[in-house]
Amino acid sequence: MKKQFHLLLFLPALLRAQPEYPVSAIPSELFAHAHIIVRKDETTFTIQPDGDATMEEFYVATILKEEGKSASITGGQESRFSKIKLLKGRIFDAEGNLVYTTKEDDIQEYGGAAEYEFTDSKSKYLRLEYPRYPYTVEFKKKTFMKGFMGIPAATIQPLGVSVEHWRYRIVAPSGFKLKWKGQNTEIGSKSSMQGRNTVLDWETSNLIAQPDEPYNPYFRSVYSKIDFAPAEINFDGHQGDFSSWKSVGLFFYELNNERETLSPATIAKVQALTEGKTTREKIAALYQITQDNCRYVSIQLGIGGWQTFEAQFVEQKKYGDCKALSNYTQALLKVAGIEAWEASIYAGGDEAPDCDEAFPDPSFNHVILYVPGENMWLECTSKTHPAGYLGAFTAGRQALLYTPDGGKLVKTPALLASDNFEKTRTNILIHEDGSAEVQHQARFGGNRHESYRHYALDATREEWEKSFTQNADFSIGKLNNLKVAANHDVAEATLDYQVETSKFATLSGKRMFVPLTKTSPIKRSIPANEKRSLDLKMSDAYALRDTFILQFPLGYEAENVPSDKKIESEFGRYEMQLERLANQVIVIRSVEILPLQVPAARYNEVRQFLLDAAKADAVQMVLVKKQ
Amino acid sequence: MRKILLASAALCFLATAIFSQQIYKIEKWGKIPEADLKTTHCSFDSSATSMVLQEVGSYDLTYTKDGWRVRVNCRKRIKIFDESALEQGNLCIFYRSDREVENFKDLDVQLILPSGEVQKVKSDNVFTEQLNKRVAAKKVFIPNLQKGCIIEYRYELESAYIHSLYETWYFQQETPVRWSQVTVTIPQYFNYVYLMQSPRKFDLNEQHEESVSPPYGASYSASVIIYGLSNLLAIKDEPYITTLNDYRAQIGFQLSEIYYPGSPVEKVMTTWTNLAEIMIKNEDFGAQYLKSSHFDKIWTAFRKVVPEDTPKDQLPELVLRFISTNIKWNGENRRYSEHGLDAAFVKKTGSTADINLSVIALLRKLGFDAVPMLISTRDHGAMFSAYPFSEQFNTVVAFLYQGEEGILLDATNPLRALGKMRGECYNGEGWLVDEKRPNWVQIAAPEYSETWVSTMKINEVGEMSGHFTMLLAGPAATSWRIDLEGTKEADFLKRHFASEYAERSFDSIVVSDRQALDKPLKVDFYCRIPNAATAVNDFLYVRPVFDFFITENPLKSLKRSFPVNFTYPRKAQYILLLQIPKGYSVEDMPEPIRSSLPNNGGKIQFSCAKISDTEVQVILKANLAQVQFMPEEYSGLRHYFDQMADRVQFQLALKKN
Repeated sequence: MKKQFHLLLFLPALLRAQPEYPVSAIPSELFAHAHIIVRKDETTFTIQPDGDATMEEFYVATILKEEGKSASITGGQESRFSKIKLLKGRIFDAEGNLVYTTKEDDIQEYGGAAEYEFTDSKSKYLRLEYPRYPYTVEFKKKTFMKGFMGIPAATIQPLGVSVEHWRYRIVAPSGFKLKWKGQNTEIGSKSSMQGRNTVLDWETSNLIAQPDEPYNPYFRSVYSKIDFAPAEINFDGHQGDFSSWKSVGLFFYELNNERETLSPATIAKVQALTEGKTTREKIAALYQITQDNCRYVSIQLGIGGWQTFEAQFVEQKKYGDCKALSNYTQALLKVAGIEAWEASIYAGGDEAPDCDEAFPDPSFNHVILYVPGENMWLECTSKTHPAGYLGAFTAGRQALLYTPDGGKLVKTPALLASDNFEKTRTNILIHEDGSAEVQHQARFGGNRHESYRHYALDATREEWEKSFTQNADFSIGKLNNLKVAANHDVAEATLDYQVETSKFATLSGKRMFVPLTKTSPIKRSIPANEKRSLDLKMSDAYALRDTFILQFPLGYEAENVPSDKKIESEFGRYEMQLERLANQVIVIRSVEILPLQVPAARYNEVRQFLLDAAKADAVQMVLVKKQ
Repeated sequence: MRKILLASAALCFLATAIFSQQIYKIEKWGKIPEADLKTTHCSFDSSATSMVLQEVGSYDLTYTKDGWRVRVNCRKRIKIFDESALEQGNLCIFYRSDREVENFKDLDVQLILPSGEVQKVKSDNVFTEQLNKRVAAKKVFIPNLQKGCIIEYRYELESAYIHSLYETWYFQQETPVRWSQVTVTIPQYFNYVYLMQSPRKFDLNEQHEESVSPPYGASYSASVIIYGLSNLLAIKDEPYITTLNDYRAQIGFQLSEIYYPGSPVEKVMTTWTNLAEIMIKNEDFGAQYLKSSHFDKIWTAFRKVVPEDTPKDQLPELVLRFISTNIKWNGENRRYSEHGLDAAFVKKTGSTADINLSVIALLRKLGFDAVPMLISTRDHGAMFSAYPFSEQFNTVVAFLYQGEEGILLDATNPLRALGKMRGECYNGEGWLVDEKRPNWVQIAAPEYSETWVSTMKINEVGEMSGHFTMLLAGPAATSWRIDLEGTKEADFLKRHFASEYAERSFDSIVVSDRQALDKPLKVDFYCRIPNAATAVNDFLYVRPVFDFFITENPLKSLKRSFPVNFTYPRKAQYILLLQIPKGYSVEDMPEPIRSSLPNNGGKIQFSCAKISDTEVQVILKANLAQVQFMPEEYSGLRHYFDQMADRVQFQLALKKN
């Protein structure tokens, strides 16, 4: 017995010498397509009877190469409502020898936000780097959360990651109501009792990585993960019933309702401004008050992340975040007798995750305004949008309306190919030395017009000229005229330029090669992939209609003028018609690219269509000098 | 008082950016002239959406209860002309958050409406943000801001940074500045060196003596010096520059001498030799590579893998490999080791100081004559060798005295060869920290060189196929080696060439000398390019240059305010032997071209010739030996790239017999 005791004393030392997590212990099938292999990922989320929560995480991952370095960092946010109680890490080499254990001062802090932002949170993180791949990192983290704002989604397997062992546990007082839902996984839960607590337990192992490929469907929808929707939350003293979208919406409605008081002066101004106008005109005029007077500033303190500032705050300060500016506009509309509702939405990127009617899991990042009477949406943080135009930032995705009757899931209008149009007319006068004078007029709509609107209304002349020359598809020699303008009422902009370029056509002996669409070529392409595994999604759709009038120098005749071309597919359409006159060629191009979501197996059909279109667009005319 | 001009080469660019001189009368806090309330645009830049009406600062070196401190006062007034400039109402003032180092005392912000009404900005609009352990910022969101308003703010802080007299004063900013002035008050006990960059004589330059009676200690006399500049155009970023700060009108200060009463003169900044001695004695610098106790662990580990009988000429290479594969660079440029060399070695990661001082430590222990070389990276700005102070540098590499020129070692990436540094370190020069031989060394950036040699054939439907050899030398080889790491060679090539011919396929890829870092990298492959040529009627039109270092002109802006500054000189050669299909002959070919930039700054050579009835040889060679081009050389340089892009696009006409 005594001897054994001694042995135990030595045991930790012996164990230390034992390699842990050697790369050689990883099942070989997990290496394909992986840049990270998660050896162990165990989380316990504990909800205490008083409503506070803790999350304990233990994560071990082998990083195979540079692309996997995201796994070398672990950290989190600290605020009034959350504290990182423990953050530790260890590094192991490929053989599994422990090479480093972190110290307290290895923890780094970062609290910076953009210039227009202030939050009372800061991030703390650990970064474990090692000069040779592969190596293994181990992290231990414990986070304490004051109040209960829900349970973050539990990612099982992102793209490019294999998982040896994964486990997630939720410990909650018995009777705690929680819905959960797996995505891209068949995982099931085990339930047990632990004293007065219920324990839910998910576990899985040996998941082989899926390759990370471009033009995925929305990234959250290709991960395998578990989402949680607890029936109740408790944040900064506010109890919320989160059991349905309706009740979630009601919670936010009540949190943000009755914050619409305005000063008598503003009320008088609204009345004067709206008198005798139609409802749509009234909306446009009031929307413009917000646009002209307010700027976007985001101050997030405590419940301020969820609750708007009062309308009078915006009235006095002339700034606010998305919630505050929407609330202020809502207040202005209310004075004019127009009802409007706020709506939460996931903004940015091309699209957002779909919300499941039966699974209330509000993960939004933005607030916009909806006028039900006119079926009209208002983006109150934009200083330049025409009233009713949401833009690519929030178009075509689900939003949760906060109505007096509770939440309602609705979809914002999508930007169709016909909305995102470009109509151009270009006169190109080609000289004998290959130089050319280019005169171009264009009209843009939808997402195609947004940057032009920005440059027309919200940038200096210098910034605009710089952007124009930097983004031109050809090298500009001299800029004779450059104009950009945005339409006040509809989502359209115009561009007008006249430039000279020294190298337009390429000379070769007595021949001159003249590109037809050099001033605005079609460039979209997707990389070759014989073994595509993810569906292909490209939501940006557009329609072009262009006329190019190419005038060539006297003394040249056309040796080869390309013939008309038409490519039609279910993914879009490309058409080019040419008309040959004495010393000019008129090219009429019409292109439509439709929004795409196709299964992986059809990836190469889409690629072929795009290749064919790009090829058709790159054709050229060959001129020969007359003898 | 000594003054020097900083980076004098930069002066000529500023000259164009600045208008007529005039002395400006500073307006008192809150007192706004009627004309400023009414003005709707900047008189010297009509396109400006806002302008700084005046910015007035003072750096007052004062004796406080904590010792000598710089009392900083700054007052700034900004006019908003357009709604698009409202973000000027989001102020962000950075300071060092350690109270021992910097004490932010007072901040006062007010808004002046177009009517002239003054509104104080209350404290509920002011926030303090802690960026990291050392730096904080005061953030102010100015309420009620509208077009036509004037923002005025002032703050006061006390800084222990007396060596640099707080910070450099920048007269020129991202918005036009009508008037900017700084007043420095320097007690008789101190002498400073001034580092100035100004387009012309200062509009205001005054000096007088003053008697100061501090609350602590005896009274003393002090020099009060004022510098002012008027009508400064906004300074904007451009591609291919080092850093904007190399071109801004500015004044910085460095403490050179202290004369305390009754003590001998303390030379803070004397000679380069003296600075070298100070740095070598520094516990976080010289001591790190001189005292074995700081790198015991590194040495022991090194000895385990590199035995004592290793031939001496192999050792520098082995040291470089050992350090670069055992300490990962954390991306930070530092002059001093923060936690010591062994600590970085144990942690497996460190800054440039940890890494390159470790290289020096090992080399010296092995009997080599190696010293640190201090550098200011390109984005940190130009160095000035006239005055010896270490703050001008931000990073360190190792220098080995060997041969005539010596050898540079930068162990921040295991794939970098002996003698080569990261691109950002090539900033013209570097300073050797060597008390016996302190020395400025001119460093020319290595040539970025790419050669393509190819034998291809084309068939009647326009498909080309054949063999390619690419030879990459200098930084081009390093960059490819880094990109190839951990990737399949075929995948990498496909990605690399995807933009030009999407349907191109590769075969028989052989990459040679991936590990022989001192040699060029050789990439051999066979490739097939469907639709490389257009077949129409009896003609085949071929574009025979597939890969070249540019395909379009990289310089898109029509005008340029600052010099173009490339990191590396470049050389690119493309040699193709093209076999044309049987029964075809060459119908048309472009003329040869030879063209060069003035002073041999760059050359283009192009030729296309029939070698036989079935073969055409295409040669395109370009080099760019000069790395810096002045704004007046810009249009010539643009033309050079236009010509090159045109030759890359050229086409051959083949005709069926």
